[in-house]
Amino acid sequence: MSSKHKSSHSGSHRHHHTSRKEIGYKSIISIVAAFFIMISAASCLVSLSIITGVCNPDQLRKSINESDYYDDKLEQVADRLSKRLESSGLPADIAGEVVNVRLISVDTNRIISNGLHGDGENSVDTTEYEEELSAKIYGYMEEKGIERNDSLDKATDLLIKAAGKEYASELTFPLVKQYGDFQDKYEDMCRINIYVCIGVMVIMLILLLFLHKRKYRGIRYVNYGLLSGSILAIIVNVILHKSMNGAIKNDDSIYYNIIHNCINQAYTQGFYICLGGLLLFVLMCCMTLYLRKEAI
Amino acid sequence: MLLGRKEQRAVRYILAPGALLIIGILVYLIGGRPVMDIMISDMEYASVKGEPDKLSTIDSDNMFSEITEGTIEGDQVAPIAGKQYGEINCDSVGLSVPLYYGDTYDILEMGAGQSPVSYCPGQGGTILVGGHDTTFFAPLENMKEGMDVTVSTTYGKYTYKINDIQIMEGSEYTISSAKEQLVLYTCYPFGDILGDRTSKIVYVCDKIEGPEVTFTENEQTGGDDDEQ
Repeated sequence: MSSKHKSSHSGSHRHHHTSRKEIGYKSIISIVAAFFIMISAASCLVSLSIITGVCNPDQLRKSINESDYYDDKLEQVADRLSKRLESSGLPADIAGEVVNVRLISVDTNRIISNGLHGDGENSVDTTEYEEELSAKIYGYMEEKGIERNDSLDKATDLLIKAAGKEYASELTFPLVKQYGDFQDKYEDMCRINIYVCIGVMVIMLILLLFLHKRKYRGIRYVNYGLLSGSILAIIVNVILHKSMNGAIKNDDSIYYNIIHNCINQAYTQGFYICLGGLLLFVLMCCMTLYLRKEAI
Repeated sequence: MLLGRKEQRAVRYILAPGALLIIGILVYLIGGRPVMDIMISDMEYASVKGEPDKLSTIDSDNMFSEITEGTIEGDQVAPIAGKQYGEINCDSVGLSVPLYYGDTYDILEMGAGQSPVSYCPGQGGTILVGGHDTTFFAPLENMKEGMDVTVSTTYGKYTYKINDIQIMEGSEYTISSAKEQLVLYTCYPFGDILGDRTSKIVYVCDKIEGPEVTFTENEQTGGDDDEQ
């Protein structure tokens, strides 16, 4: 009886050693998995912030709409047209009747849309502008009783065409092409990164669930990764926001204000996306508690 | 001091993510930051290249390109109305004039103006450039056939040779896309500001060298066989 007792005791002692080792391995693997979940979660959240933020053409458009861009352009276009009309012997006030904020905002939005969404040519459509100008000039001639002839019509057409080209070059927004190139370069990269990161997180989750008999213990490591990943994403977003704003010239011009405004809006949105990661963490904690209660 | 199970769990939820976060920040600084820096510099580049008035900021000789051959394409931005984008030179008569895109009265008070309905240097058509005979284009009076005229622009350097000098009535000139020619014109007779001058003197110059250019941003320059 005493020998049986001894053997059973030593067996139990040996079993105790193995299980500690196993627990040690499990912990190390779990922490490594949590580390990958953290990196993937942070990378995924930052990429999502970039796609919906600085790589989102709507952010740029919103930023332009909120600035004084259209009023500024209206002033420039009207001024240039007035001078051209004056130099052709026509009254400068025709310019005020032709150009307006609506026309400029419609044409500007069109070139931004076409340029950034690749919906068509990245050039200004001057048809409406030229038609309006033509109607006003010929209307003025009629009013003044000026007789039209081929030579006058030809000269007027040339004037309208030249004014149209000036209008197009005034409205041209070279940033659109540059922004489009930037967007093309990083949007796909971020999208692929998001898919890869989600894949890694799913694999790590499955690994942790397989590794731990009590599922809530596995999910606990997922929570560690998610919590640290979300905080890391917030830190990276703040650093990116500051660095990007610091790199862009700050000279109070409307152009640079549009870019700074676009960056600020983009990263505010990015911050909320990272908070979404924390929300997911809270949900996972609730799930852990539930599974734990079920297990007990 | 021994902690209860609940407290131990709470501490684990602080310590484990905290330790992971520190490692994560280190990983970001080593691996992520360089990638982010590339993105930031790309954004900076886009903002500088996309600046609308970039072409007008010509404040030194270094702003003109020295490219004299080949084809320029890609992200070349077309000249902007009212902005200087080049310089016309003819050393033998002392001509050195800033070249603007557009030919309004305001522009002609600042230099030579290229008609927006004509082509730009390198586009392969007629480049119609006007100037006042009493100011910037006064040296044209001494220009003769066979002389070289250079046009330095922000994207390339062009050389033309005077092929023909005409005196014409009126102000119509046919713009063609068939051949690249620099056409300089001004009022004639030179300096006769009191007279009623309807004539123009036109210097037609053939292209000798210079790169071809394609404006990808906005094909705003040039019209097919228009009359100016």
